[in-house]
Amino acid sequence: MIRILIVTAVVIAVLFALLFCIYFFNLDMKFIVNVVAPLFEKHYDNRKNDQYV
Amino acid sequence: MGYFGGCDVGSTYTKAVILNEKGEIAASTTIKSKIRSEESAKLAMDAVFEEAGLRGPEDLSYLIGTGYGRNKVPFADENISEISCHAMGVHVTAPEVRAVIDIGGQDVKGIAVDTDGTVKSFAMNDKCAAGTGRFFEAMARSFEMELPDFSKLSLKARNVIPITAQCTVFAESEVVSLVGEGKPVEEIAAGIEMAVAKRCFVMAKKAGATDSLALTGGCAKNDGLKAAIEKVLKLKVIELKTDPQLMGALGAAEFARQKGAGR
Amino acid sequence: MDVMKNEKIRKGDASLGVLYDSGKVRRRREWRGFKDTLYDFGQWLKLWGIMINVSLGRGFFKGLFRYRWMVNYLAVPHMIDKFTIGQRDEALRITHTAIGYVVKDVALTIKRCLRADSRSGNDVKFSDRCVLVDENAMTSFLMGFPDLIALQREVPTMFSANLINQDSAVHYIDVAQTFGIPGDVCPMPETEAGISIEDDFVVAGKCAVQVNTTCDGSMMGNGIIAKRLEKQYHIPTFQMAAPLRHRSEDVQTYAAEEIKAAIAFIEEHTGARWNWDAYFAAAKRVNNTTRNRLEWLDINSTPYPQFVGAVFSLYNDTNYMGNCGRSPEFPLIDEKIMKLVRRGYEKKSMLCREYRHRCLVWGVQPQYVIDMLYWMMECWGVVPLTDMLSMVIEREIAEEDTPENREQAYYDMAYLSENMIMRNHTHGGYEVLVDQLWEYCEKMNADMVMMWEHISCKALTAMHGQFEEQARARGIRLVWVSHDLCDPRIYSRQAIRDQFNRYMRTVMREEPVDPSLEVLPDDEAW
Repeated sequence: MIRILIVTAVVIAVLFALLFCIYFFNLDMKFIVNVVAPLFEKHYDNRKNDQYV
Repeated sequence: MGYFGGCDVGSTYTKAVILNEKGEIAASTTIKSKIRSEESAKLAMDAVFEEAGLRGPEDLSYLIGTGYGRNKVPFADENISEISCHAMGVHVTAPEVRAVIDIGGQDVKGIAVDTDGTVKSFAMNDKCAAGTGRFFEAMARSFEMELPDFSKLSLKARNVIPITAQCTVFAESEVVSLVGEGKPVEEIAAGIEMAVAKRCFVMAKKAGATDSLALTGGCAKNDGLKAAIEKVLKLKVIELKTDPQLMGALGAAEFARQKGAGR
Repeated sequence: MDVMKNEKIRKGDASLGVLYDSGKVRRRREWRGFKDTLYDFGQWLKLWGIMINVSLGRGFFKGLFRYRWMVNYLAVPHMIDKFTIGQRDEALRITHTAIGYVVKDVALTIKRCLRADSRSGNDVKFSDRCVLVDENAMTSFLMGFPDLIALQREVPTMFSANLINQDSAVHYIDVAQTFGIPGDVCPMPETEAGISIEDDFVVAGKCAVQVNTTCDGSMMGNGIIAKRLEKQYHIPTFQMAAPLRHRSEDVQTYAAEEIKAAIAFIEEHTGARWNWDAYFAAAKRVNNTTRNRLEWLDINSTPYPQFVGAVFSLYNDTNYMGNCGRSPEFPLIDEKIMKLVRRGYEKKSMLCREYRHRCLVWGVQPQYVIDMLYWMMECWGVVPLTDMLSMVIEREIAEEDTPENREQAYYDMAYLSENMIMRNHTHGGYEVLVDQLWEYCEKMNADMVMMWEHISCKALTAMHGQFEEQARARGIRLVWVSHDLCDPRIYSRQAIRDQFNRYMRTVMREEPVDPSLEVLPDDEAW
């Protein structure tokens, strides 16, 4: 039981540390604007839209 | 004797002034700006050092940089915005002036001057070349004339041909068309001066001008524009006894004199 | 005013310029001391929870690949960072509570848009319950339709997208201009027109109501949008016009008639029936909002303002316009904010290191420099007490269900519509645009006014001289700051800040409180 609690506590601590690093160093936004967004922008640019007035 | 310098690195011309302890101009110069602001500042400062008989920056008690390239003035002790310097320059030349319109190479500013030469408020147009020195250069080019000749052209006009477009690009093509139609060039020129004067109206209002104002910057030497401003704004344009193009550098030098007096 | 120094030493980052580099987002998040950083971290986790929840909605991934504007929403946390810069204690919690709910509301709008969209979720039954409304519509005419959904499809597409990513409108502006719309019109309706031309709006709703708010520039965009809605997607569209001179007595009957006609149109096309119980319940909530907002403004009039900045106007915008009393959740958020505001006031909490000037922000604020008001505080100690967009509804509406009040209700809905954000001051003559500004300055003890000058907006242009002369006569410092609303190519962020910097240095002859913020390399940032 204690072992499970310790493992759970360690997992939570590691997860917390990991998420806090992502948060503090703004890694979520850096990943999105540098990797995800350019891919999507390329996709949107390659798509033909039905432009009309 | 202590000397104090002001260097105004503008987009088109670079001006430098050296004042003595009494606030008298010991040397001044105006040169065409180079691509690199540092080079312009250095050339202008070298010229005034020579004129004042100084060895170099080591002989100056204080030097202030101003203008578009003020951050690039070598040896400057400090930078101050050109708005403050124009206000101060006019104040030391004509203390009674409360409103200034500075028409530079690439922008126009309206400045309200306080009794001590500080700025009460200001307005500026720096997004459009219309009504600036660049505009006049383009217009003179359309007439195939030099700028000094162009600035006197409108004084001979009996009528004014209105220029509808205030945008430099559109105005240039409009002027070319009017010249091509054979319209009198002096009347077209009067139309151009009038268009710029109307543009100055907004700046004058923002500067809080009520009965008189002073013009500074290179365009202040344009006699046709002065006449048009007096006509459109119904304000007296006060003649400055010092070259109006030097006002920014003079103001910077005056600030330098005030700040460096103890050195 | 006398300079007020914050006795409480700020924990964490002192010079905030350190957070910026030339990248699209910040170098890192702000260190606010242990407690506040942990709180901010918790809010960040909550935000990602909201975003993940949206992504689980029907049609999300189809929508993400279909609509160019969707990608902006992945960077919502970056927007929150802009709203919370420099904040600690109650101020941080007020902002997170308010903006958190705004984000939740926009997230819900996106979820609903994609669910109803014939190209993504294609939930036809749900779509039939939706009425498309403009982003700038005061949705008062839907207060008595509890089963219908006001689908503000322009909010995620244009309005909030530009708060997140300054370049979000650029592509659509270019599309509109390719089709001959001039470049010097207001870029907001122009963007909306571009979105419609490119067919990048979701296609949903049983019918649509378009309004001439916030200004008549929006009519240009509306024409193009309505044509596509009606001709291609067969969504009938009603044009509701709010009177210009909205303070005049003789236009009120017309305004009420417009509301009646809009309600009749919605009934006809959706089959829903107007419900007075729902209306008066919503009216009570609107009044509650009005009372709260006026109390916040009262507190902002004291030496210790609490709820200020862009979040104040954005929260009011969402609360009044999109919600208009229909959601029972807003009063609960109001209550939370109120507690924090009162606590901050009682503790005499200050929002930044020092207060040098008390400032009213007037004119139309740019979307892409939404953090300017926080920057003014942090960089120059200028406190934005309130802004034009927050000075909306000032009187309560009838909330008891009586025969007389049922007739009055149409006038009240018209009143809400006429006094929607921005329009109530940009239209209606100099009394509301110029005179009221000085009244607010006096009431809030302001010594400075920051005038946003939207260069493509003609509404304020004619009043320049009046503003100048009257500010001079009253001894109020008037700072003009030009921008182009949602097109950063005309005035970059730094060009906007430089106008303020120049004024503070040249006229006020002051040095910045935080010099690291005077010039920021964020022109390329989202």
